[in-house]
Amino acid sequence: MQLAIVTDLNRCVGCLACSVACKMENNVEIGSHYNRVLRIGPNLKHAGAKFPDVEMYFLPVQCQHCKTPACIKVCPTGASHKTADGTVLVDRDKCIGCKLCIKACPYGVRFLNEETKVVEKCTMCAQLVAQKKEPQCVSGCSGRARFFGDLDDPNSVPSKKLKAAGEHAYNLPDEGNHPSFKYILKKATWRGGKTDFEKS
Amino acid sequence: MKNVSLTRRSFLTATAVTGVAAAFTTSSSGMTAALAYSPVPANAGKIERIRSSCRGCGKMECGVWVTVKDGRAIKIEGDESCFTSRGNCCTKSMSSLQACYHPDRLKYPMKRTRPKGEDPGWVRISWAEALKTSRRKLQEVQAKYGNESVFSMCGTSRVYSMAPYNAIGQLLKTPNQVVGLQICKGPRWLSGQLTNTFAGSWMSTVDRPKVYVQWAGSSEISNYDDSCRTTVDAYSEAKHYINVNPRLSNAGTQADIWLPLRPGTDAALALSWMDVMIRHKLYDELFCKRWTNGPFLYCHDIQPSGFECQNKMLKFELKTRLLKESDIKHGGDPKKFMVWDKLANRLTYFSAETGLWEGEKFKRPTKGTHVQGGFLPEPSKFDPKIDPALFGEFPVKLKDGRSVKVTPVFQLLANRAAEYTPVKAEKVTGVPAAKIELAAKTWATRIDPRYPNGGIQYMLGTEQAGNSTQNTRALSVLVAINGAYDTPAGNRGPTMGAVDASPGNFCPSLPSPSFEKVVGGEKFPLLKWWQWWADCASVWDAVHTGKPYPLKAAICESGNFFSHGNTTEAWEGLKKLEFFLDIDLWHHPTSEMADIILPACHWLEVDAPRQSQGGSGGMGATCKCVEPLAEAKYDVEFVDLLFKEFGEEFLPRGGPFPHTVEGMLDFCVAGTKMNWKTYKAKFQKDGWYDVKKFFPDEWGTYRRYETGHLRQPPAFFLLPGDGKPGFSTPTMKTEIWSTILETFVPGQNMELPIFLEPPQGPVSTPNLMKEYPLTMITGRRIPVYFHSEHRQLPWCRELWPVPKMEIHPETAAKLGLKQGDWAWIESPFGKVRQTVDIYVGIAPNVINAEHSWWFPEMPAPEHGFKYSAINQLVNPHAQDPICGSSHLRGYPVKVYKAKEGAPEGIIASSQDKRLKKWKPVHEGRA
Repeated sequence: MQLAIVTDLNRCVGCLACSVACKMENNVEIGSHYNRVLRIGPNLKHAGAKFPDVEMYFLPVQCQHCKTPACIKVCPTGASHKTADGTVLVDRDKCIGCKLCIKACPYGVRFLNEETKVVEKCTMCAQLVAQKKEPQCVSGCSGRARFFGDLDDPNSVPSKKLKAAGEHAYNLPDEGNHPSFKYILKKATWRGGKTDFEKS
Repeated sequence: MKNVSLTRRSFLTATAVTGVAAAFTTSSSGMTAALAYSPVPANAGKIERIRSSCRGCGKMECGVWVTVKDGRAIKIEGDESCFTSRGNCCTKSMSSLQACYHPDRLKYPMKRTRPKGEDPGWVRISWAEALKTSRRKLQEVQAKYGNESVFSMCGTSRVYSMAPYNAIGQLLKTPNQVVGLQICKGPRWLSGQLTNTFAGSWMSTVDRPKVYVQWAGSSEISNYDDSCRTTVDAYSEAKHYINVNPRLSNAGTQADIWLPLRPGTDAALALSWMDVMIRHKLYDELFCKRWTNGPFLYCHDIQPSGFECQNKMLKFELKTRLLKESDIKHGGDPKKFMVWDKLANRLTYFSAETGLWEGEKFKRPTKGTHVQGGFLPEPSKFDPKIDPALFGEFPVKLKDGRSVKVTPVFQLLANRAAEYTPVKAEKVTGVPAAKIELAAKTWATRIDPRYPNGGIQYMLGTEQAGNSTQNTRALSVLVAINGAYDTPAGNRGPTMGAVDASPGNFCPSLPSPSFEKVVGGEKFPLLKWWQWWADCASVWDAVHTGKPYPLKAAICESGNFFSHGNTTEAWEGLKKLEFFLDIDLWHHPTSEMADIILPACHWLEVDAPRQSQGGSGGMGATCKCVEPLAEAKYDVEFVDLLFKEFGEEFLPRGGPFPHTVEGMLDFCVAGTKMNWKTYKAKFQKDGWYDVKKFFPDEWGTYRRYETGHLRQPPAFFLLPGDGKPGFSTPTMKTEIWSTILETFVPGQNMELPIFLEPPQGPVSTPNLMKEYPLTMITGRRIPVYFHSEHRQLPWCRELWPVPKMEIHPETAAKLGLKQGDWAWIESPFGKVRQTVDIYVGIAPNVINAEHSWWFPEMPAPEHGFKYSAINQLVNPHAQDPICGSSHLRGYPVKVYKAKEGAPEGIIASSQDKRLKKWKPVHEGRA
């Protein structure tokens, strides 16, 4: 089982509701985010193009709940662990705040909570999922661009979206961690070939 | 909530959901075996979910669910029963949790102890003292300088705080109101009323247009006009999505056709679309003949004449050169407008008294189809059979014997539109001719033969380039000739529901003031007819110069002084007022200039009726979720108390409604035949009302001009009309030729839609552009802000700490600017700093700055507005020549690097610890 979120980037308009919905639901500390929305571009559509031959998309980035997470490999206490439904979580009672996982994550989605000294990140709203609800960033998405479910189940909503998307389905750069989250993008060029995500 | 990360172990105590252990059916995963769950504590608390309507922005009316635990609001989510917004709940809505509980909210009435322009030195006073002093000071000023020496100010947002639009003027007997309407929606409402109906500009996006045209706005950044959800659905479901915008906008990235026009040239583009439609016969010919004044005959050789008309409080004589029976026959009827019947080769007439053609009998159409939950009547045909000419020139003998030639208005429109063929329009707008033509054809070529593909969702950008009346008018006429007025997904105007959704706005027991002496009325005579605003620039001129007469005091509700006109003039003007009363939630540059400030409630704390202001067709309510903070009062209660302080009652004495705030709410929902308590309870239980179902013959019917259900006094709710077919204009037709503009702005070529260059720009002021070579647009929607609101909410400010100016990379490179640098933006009137955002989605000679910035963390009274508030650059007298709206977008500026860097002391990063001082405080209320 691998719960994950698939985002249709042609419906994502960068409204930032997912970022704030997450903060509201998870009481994320001011100055930190579990989910941040990047603006990719605007870019020229091709070399030699000029305005208005431009394109742009928005990219919500949070923990990708990878199949073989880099964070878990480096965690000395086993605080970072992957549950049977595929969610990657941090057991705050075991976390010693060594920050090795923050360095290891290729997407910079973890941070140290300065008050509790424990590492935090997206939990895929496990507390909501346990109540058969969707993560807040999914239900709160204004564009209804996010689809949550089990990617190992071919009949789940996100699985079907991916199938329909065909070659237009992408993931963030994979350094062997195999991110579970997927993105669908049509009409614009996916620019996820390089990683330049901020790590702070 | 405790300040800890929410893990599986702790969530139970935080959310206090009972019976949750049973929900762990995934326990086969073994995860529950490893963790020990605490039982739900007995004192878990009371959880309610209250259905309400958000006020995080200015009147989208998104339905929301508010979760309240032990009297504390902890969560806000969308309400899917609200079909108009489809469960949308944006950043601003959710951040209302931080606004309602913000430590800096005003708690008590206060008066100043220090001079204006310094820290006010506020001291607490009682509500009684605040009201008494206010009345005394206002009466002193009025006794000394006249009633009109007091003006009101109003912005937007709290829809229950709109008393300056009517009630304040009614109470104090002054027409002088500086209202955001003049630069936002007002020009659209105005050209709507000039063309077909009051506020006829609103489009029913909820009806899912087949071709979605989004013009000069970003409704995907949930604000006015529409919610994100509705917008994303609209462009995703439409067969074609056309976006008109000088810059690449968030949703604009998805457009099939993007028309990046030169700022302020919207009317030229609209005329160009009209030209394409006329040449390719894509206009709705029957509608144009039967329901517009397109076939009416313009006669150059007569004196304008007409008949008595009335708009609101003003009676006036309509004066038009459109040929009437009174022009061709002594004793002829001035209300019979002549047309040329091509079938019989003779003149016939349309009566602007009966709304019928010569010999016609009114037959309410009964045949039609059902579309989008509404009844769409089949278009009626001429009976008796005539064919009014739209083109050509015809000979006529006037009553004085002269033989003259007359021309159908539609021919004149075609001639005007031909000045903007796509090839010519390309020179003006910068949009390639082929693209213009493709867009027009795509929109105007019907997919379903019964009705047009959709209206045009034209928004704020069309109203702020100093040519707002004609820009928006061109769009109203464009929509009309496509037959897209009051058709499914067309422009239907305001929702004519049962509810007055602006409590405390219009007082039913006092007359409205005359606008004869309105400030700005000499320069903008139409304002005396329109009766919705005084001219903002003229008001500040009067404050500074005493001309045409002194303005000495003001009341402000839900407003700021820097969205409109020149900010510096307003700031300096506020300093000069002898008395200024403000009601607000915040210490803000506007409230820091008051003599007395009153604390207002937040939307989570109040009850209010709600109704779609636009064409979305929903009725609902804001339902109180939490107790008010300290002594904050509901704006409606403030109005009630103000009226009583002056010895007046808001509601009619001896009337059926109690003279209480609840009585005022009863009054507002009286059209539903329920009182407030019942209306609210039903809403709470069943959700949003569908006005199409509530009023099937009115809002539930399209083409109401056919059925006699359109004409009524201007309002945002259904009022009894006269039942006649047609429109609320003087001719009862959609006026391609505006008889009102002909009467009030004669001899200036304003009768037909016309493209006027913005008052400043490459064509109007080429010399100015030598020193100020860039064209600046501003005022766009920002995901976390609404005008000047939300700068002090951590969830908003941490995502968008500083203003960003979008600039093309080549332009930036020439100026030595890099991403994140601070740069000066300067006009002859002022300069501000904003940060550089390299953006190739804008033309190299255009920049896009942000508006209404201030920095709450900076000291009173300025709170740093001088650093970045963009309207300090506005030319106060660059205005629309008809309605006076400021030239706020698309004027010349220069940009250069700010060696000083960021303004000192502002919060410029999400890591600034001061953001944490703005965490919610839950104490201080019952």
